[in-house]
Amino acid sequence: MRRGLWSSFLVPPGLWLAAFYLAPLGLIVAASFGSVDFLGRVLYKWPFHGWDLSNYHTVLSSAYLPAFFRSLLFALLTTGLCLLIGYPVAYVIARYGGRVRHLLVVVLILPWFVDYLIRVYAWIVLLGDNGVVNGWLGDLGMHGDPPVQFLGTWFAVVGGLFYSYFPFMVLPIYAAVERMDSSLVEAGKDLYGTPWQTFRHVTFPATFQGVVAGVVLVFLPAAGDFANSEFLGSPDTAMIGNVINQTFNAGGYVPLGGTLTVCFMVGIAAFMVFYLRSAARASREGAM
Amino acid sequence: MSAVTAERKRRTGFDRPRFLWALYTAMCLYLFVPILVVVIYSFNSSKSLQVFSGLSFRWYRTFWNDPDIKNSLVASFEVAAVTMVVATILGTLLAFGLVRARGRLGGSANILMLLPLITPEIVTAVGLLLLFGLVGTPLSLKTIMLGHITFSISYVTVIVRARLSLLNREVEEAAMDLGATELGALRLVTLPALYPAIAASALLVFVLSFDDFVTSVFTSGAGTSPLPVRIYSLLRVGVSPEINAVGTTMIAITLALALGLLPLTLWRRNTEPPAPTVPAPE
Amino acid sequence: MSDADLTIALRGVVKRFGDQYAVKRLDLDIAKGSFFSILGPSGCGKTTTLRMIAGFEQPDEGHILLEGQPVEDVPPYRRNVNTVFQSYALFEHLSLFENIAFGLRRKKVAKAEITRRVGEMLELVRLSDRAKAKPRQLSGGQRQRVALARALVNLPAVLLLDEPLGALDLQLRKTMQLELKHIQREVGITFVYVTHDQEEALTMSDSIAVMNLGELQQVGNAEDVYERPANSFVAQFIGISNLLDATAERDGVKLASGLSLPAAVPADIAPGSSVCLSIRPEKLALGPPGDGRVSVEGTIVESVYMGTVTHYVIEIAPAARMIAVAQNTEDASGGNRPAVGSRATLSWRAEHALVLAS
Repeated sequence: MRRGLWSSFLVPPGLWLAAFYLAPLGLIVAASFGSVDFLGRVLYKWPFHGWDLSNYHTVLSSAYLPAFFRSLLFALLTTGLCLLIGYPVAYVIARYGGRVRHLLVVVLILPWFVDYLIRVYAWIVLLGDNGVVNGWLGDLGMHGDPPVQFLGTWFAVVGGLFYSYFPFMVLPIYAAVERMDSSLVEAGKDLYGTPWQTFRHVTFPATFQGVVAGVVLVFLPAAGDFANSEFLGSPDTAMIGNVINQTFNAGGYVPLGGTLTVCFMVGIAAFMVFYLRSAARASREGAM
Repeated sequence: MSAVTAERKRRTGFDRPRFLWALYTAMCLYLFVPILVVVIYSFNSSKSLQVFSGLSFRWYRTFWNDPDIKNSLVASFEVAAVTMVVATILGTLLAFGLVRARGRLGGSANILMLLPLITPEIVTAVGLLLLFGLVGTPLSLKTIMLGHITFSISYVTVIVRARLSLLNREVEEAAMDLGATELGALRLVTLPALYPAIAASALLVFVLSFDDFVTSVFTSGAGTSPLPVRIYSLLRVGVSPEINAVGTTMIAITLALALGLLPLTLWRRNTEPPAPTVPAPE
Repeated sequence: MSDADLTIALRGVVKRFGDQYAVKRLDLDIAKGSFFSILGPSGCGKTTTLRMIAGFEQPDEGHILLEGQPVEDVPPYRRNVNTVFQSYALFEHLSLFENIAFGLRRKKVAKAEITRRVGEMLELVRLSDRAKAKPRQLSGGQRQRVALARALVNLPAVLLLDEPLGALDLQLRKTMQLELKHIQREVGITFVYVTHDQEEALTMSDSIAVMNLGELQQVGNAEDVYERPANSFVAQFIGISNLLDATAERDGVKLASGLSLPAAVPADIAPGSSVCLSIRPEKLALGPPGDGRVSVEGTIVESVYMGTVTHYVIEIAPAARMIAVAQNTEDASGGNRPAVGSRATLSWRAEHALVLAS
């Protein structure tokens, strides 16, 4: 076997990812410590090499902080909601779905294949001031223009996030429940009197890895989301994603955008590391 | 079922599966209803979102006559097609490298592969924007493709690797034993066995690219942009019934592609050898 | 044997995986046209040796010669060797015909000849009517035959078989053993057969190489290996043997209990060194000793009835037990058999007791 052959396969994709994933990350960090020149081009600076911490002062001491906390809060709420509803749904399909369980999962996942923006837009159609639901409410005799203000609120945003990322919770948990030995649950039912006890001591621990995957796969994208907030919310519900988007695409100060991104990454880094370590552990145990 | 277990089932209070099935059905409805509303109102003859005045194709005609939107649709297909081809090739190479290469390179390559999957898209998009700015590349469909390929590679790798690691190495060795070179064995034996995984991941990449919004928004230039970016611009101006028609068209396209994935996942089972009863050779 | 008569020769072959030695300095000669088995327990290095001959592993040291030519650097697809894998490794996406034709197609053999030769192979393994079937439609035994046909059709100089019968049930295995032997005789190709089943090796082989922990223990035909094991490992791996720890003396051995027994001590074993006295159970007779036999007294501690034979465990000294096997002939039925707890005399011919290095 030519020893070098397989290692050489790693080179093209490795180079690609290094160039288009790693290098950009490095640039973000460098931009966060930098500034712009008179032409508006970014001047990159590296830590300890003439770096400029003024952007960090701006971000950490000001009006940007609420956006960070809001992103965290919304993402946590979304994750919690997804877990609360996603776990039972995944569970029932995996354990009681029988031969059609794959089909049942597919049906649940199908809406996710619709374009992300269209999904956000659909909620505008439903819940907008001139939307379908308000139309019905008006017909039913409710007063007010509009009868109910759905959009522009934080729960519209969280609802939208929940709608967007729900499948990411269901799929890993479904896989974990399916892989679980159902006789464990039977044994648990004998040992622990109530269903809740069985769940707590047998089912949940056995599916924990799936839960971890689901939580991380929902939390991370939700934290960085901006479309839901932009269209279903209001400036009061701006998430860090909105701020970053505006900075780069609406003519803001680019290095500040870099700093915001770095701070965001640091904030979620704990979750990313946690996921990577549990994934590494899982693949070592052969669960991948 | 014995009398004891039947008794126990009755005693556990509410019939759990029935409640859970109700939850499942409710979620399915919740997930489909908004989409159905968009589809229904795309055929509405009036502008309103509250009154259904009658069936009409007028919004589709508007959509079809709008050159910007049509060009965007074509652009979306172009970008998705190129992304699909390149990402599938790179992702498959990476999968082989991760499964087969001996040595410590594999561990770090594995992490490098997983990172894009869990990095929020906005971060990778920002990075790409900075990269193109630094290098001086003008933003265009090409830069969008580069971005899409970057996040798609990992999806292909994960899917292909899962299948590849289940394949019996001896089959490839048998091909070499019988006269095929390493690459010949790959071509004649391993790739055919991987075909369902490669096809499924290619289709997934196409859908991901076609639907992609965040990376596209950051890396598209002044010219034609893919459909989601166009819709984004339209939405910022205000809700328009035309978007219903555009949306429904996209729904139709992506659902068709998604349903194309379904038979592929089932096909996998038919080309598998029977479960081995022999313990793995030493 | 000159190198020309050897299809395969291994000279000083060493293979390491990390710090572990899989094969330590192996020298092996395999004669042309023979059915050669490599026998040993799991992890003894037999599969690694086979894979090195096939070309899937490269030796770290030493040479592998095929028909006189060194081939350590030659890749498997250029060696005139074919393998039947333990898992059969059939090409699931190809029909039986295409599976068998695979090697011929790689060699760019003419279409008409491919059809002819594949047809002959299908006849040989009795699967002519399933030529268009896919492997997953076949039973385990049929898949095994396809694997064999696929390798044989190329008429290699050597056919390597890696425990090919392991997955088959007992009946089928016995049938296939005879079939393989028959095919080998007919086709005349050298077979190198790896197995951990000593009965299988004894049944089928012209020569057996016994390996343990990466080292060659003994090479010989079935009788050599059974009647004259070279060391205590071979003695207990092949068949059952009584092995008593003892110290060598000039004309015999002294057991730990102090009991001295006469035996032929090989010249290279010095008096005073640790040895094993090896005697096969069937060579032991229970009852009054005849002339010229060595005898020893003991107590029967166990008696196991096994249908055709009865196994007796006899304690001749504290911590020294021997197993004797007696046929259940018409004389030894029911009450006639010696009882547990009774005293018995074990005897054997001196030449059946082997003194082996410990």
